[in-house]
Amino acid sequence: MSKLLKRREFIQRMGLTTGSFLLNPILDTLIGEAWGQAITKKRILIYTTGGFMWPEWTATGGSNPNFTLPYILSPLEPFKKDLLVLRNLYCDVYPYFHGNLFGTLSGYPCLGANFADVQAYKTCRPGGPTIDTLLSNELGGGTRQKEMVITNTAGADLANGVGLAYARDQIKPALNDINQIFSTYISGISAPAPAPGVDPQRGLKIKKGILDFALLDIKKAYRGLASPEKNKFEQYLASVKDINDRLQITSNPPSTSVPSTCGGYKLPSTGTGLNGKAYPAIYPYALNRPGTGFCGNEYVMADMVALALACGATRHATFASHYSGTHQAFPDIGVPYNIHEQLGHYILNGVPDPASPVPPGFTVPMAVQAGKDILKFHADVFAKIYSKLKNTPEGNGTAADNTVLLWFSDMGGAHHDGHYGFTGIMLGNAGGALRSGNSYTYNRRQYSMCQLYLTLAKAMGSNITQVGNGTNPGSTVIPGILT
Amino acid sequence: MRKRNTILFALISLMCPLTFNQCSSSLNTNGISTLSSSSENPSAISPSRGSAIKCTTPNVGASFPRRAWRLTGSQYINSVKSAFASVQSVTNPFRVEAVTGAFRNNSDGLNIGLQLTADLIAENEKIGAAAVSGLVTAYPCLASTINLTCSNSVVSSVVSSLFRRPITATELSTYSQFLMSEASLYGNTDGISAFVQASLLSPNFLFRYEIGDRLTGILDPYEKAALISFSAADSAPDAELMDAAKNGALKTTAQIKSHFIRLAKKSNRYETLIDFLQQYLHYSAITTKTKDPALFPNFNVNVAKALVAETDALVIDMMRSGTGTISELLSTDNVMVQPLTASIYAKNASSLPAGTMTKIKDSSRAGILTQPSFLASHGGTKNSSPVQIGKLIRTEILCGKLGRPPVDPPTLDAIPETSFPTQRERLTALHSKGTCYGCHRLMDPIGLGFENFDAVGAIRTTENGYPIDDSGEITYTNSALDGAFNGGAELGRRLASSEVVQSCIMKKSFQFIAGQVGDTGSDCFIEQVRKANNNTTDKADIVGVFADIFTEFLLAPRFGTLEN
Repeated sequence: MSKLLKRREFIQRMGLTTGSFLLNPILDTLIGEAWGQAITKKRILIYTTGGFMWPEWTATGGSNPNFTLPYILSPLEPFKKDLLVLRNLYCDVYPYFHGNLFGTLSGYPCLGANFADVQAYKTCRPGGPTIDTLLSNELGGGTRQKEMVITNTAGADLANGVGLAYARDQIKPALNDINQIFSTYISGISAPAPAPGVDPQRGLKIKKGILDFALLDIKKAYRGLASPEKNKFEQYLASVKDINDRLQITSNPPSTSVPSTCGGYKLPSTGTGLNGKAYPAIYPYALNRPGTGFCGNEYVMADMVALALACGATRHATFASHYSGTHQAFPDIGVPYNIHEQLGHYILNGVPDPASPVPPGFTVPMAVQAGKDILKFHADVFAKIYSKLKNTPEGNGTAADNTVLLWFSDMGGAHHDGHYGFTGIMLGNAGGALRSGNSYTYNRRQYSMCQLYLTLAKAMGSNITQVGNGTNPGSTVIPGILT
Repeated sequence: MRKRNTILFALISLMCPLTFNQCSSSLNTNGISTLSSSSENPSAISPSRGSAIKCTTPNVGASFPRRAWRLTGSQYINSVKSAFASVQSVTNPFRVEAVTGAFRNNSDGLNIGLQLTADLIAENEKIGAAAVSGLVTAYPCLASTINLTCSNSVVSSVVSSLFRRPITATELSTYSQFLMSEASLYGNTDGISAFVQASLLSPNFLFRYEIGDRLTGILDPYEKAALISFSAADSAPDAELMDAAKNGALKTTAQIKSHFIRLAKKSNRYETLIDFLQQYLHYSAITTKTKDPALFPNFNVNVAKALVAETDALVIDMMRSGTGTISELLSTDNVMVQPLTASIYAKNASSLPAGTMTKIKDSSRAGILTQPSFLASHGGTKNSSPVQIGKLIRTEILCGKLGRPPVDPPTLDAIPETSFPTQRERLTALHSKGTCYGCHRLMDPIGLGFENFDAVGAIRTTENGYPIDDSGEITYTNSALDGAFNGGAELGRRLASSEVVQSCIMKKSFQFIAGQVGDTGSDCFIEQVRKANNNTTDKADIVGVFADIFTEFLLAPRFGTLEN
């Protein structure tokens, strides 16, 4: 009589207590414990350009922790207890009204030869170290990529393009193809297409079974040897685990289908937009993935960010969405016109701009609602990343438990709305380091963005003591945020 | 002309930067050679037997650290082939790794990071698929539903073979259940393949352990068996050696030495010895180098490969029908020639039989250092390279030490051939004064003695129309080796009778066999082994030298704290 064990029973006999779908995270914990390693904290910075329309962020209907989320943040309602909303921060880095990623990330004015360089995103250079670089340099070791930057603009200069990703520390060529990005930077494994009629996951399941088995074997293999000999096994163990993690996510690649929230809007191929440009020219993002549009791309990129952290490809990700804010039309979410001029130059600036009149048939309430719709869409992307991490087991909890996401923009208001009124929205408490579930509105110029970054860094266990320069003091944390 | 050369000479001397002074402890501040007391002591240059190393502790009973030693690519390939009959083709999964130390099997450098692991997994997948048919043939029960009896039978044999020891009851149960589980889920073919792959990923296969008894540090019989086999034959132990381990017959010096020599000579091809010599003297490097086609129009990669094969064949012939000693290795006047390479030996190709090698006497050559493969490997694209050859002999044959070269040293390209038409004149112009002299005085005089060979290792009598001067000199060894010589052949014969050389080659042999970088401790250990075995170059063949060193190394206890 054969004593054939079912897979679940076999795993149980190996000393585990659950099925194979949870085997990998459990192995992570077991192996981590075996080598005396603690689960490392992770962070994602999410940047959207074009300002935040700060008057629209005010939480209503009660004080902490019973505040009510505004329309823009409504997609984050399921995670309200994990949320921190910090309003009215400042960041004095812009000699001109235009904001930019590097200035906001560093707290230093952008370097540029002239006005055009400084105001243009593509030629702006940080005048000092950015917070993402500071954190990834200090805490980014031990993974395949010290930091992963996923952006809808291309290359190291963050110029034009969509659906592109690059690893800043490796300066690899930007890629256009989602699957190529995924296999190159995240999974590292390209899985061949399964034969017709065969379980597409079969080959991956067999491989994972072998590696699961090997991981337990390696754990026992050092036989008392101390360092440096023990290091050989640790290195081997980490390598097998890394590949096993990638196999895990290769079996669950990013979805390339367009979410229903994107609305399925069909881009016009001819005609002229409100800004007077021909349609194809003002929708460059949509040309990369016909039928998908900006909205679909954003969700795929969000998926990749979450996968990169979930599989340990990196612990530090920056997701820079440059064609977001008020810079572009968003036909796929119901905003088929560019509201940048109206919001940035006219409405929120408070002074009518003769050069940016409200066009016929277009009203101020329409423009404000369009801006809110765009930001609500980004809040939904933000929530999707967090949700994915919440659904990824890690240790005794989820990958979200030891992660913090920070969503911010380059200006407090719209594109020309000054250096105050910034909002920082954090999801996740970085392993209990942050007092989540609160919303604060500070006095004007009370706390800077750089102080927010320093607070974030301390929550992650960083030893850095300063972010930004003298005009943007980032040498003290924002009080009441850290536990 | 003389005046012009004097000026050029002075200018060229300035090309050696002041920072190029790594060997200049023997130079005074004026850059003039006035050997200091420390550099007159040969120990500062060439630690020769006895005088250079103070071995204060008795080395019989010397100990070595506990370690895990990952298989090299060739050991992985040989082990897989010996374990699975139906696996014919195995690719080295570790081919991209860098070499740490002098030899590829240095245990410190044998790690396995992400890239090698990925390559290993991919190679194991192919092996797993190829192994299935052979296992089903050997174990017919694998053709139907795999039960526990069948699974235990397969696992106890296959896994024991791969782990090079009897497996534990826990291992038997775990692997057996894995085989049955995978076969049940995915069918027998994929299940058996998965079992093979999992076994090959195990550190118990991938690493050799030298841990020994927790208290005494004495290696257990199976650890000994694995070390003997991999060191002697680059593969897993055969049945005879495993039986000896099982029966406690690996305790005495004679028992160990006997198995080592048996395995090293088993195939009669001396692969391990040739592997050592190729890594040690780099004579196979010529297969990846090019020579100036205008000067050497008949030289190509096929000729290069043929030259390497001839040196390999010469070593095998020496071991089979000669004395096989270090002395013979360095002084034999035999060469192996084929029609393809005949011109390099100044022979008529038509007088040689096609498709084979012919052993002939060649009085212009003596030993492996005058083999064309060696000379061409270390020669330049257009001309000989006395510095390279002199450096190798100083550091690898005499075990002398040299400082690190400067980052951007001056090169011979800067010396005009019109004024200095021979290599000797150019080197003298570049190195005989200034700070370059500090190190080059230890290399150039040796290498210049090989000027009777050109860039491909052929005999030459003129260079740019001037007669060849092949006079050389060995200095600072504080032994009978010191003195002038003419030509590589004379040097080979002199090296062959030197105890300094034998001691040095034994040290290199130890580094190869033990997979360790040499240090003062291991040098002392080697000296003790030499004395204990009373070796001289004329009394032991090289495999015997290996066996002497290895046996003492194997019997020495391992030390180091073991964690619980």
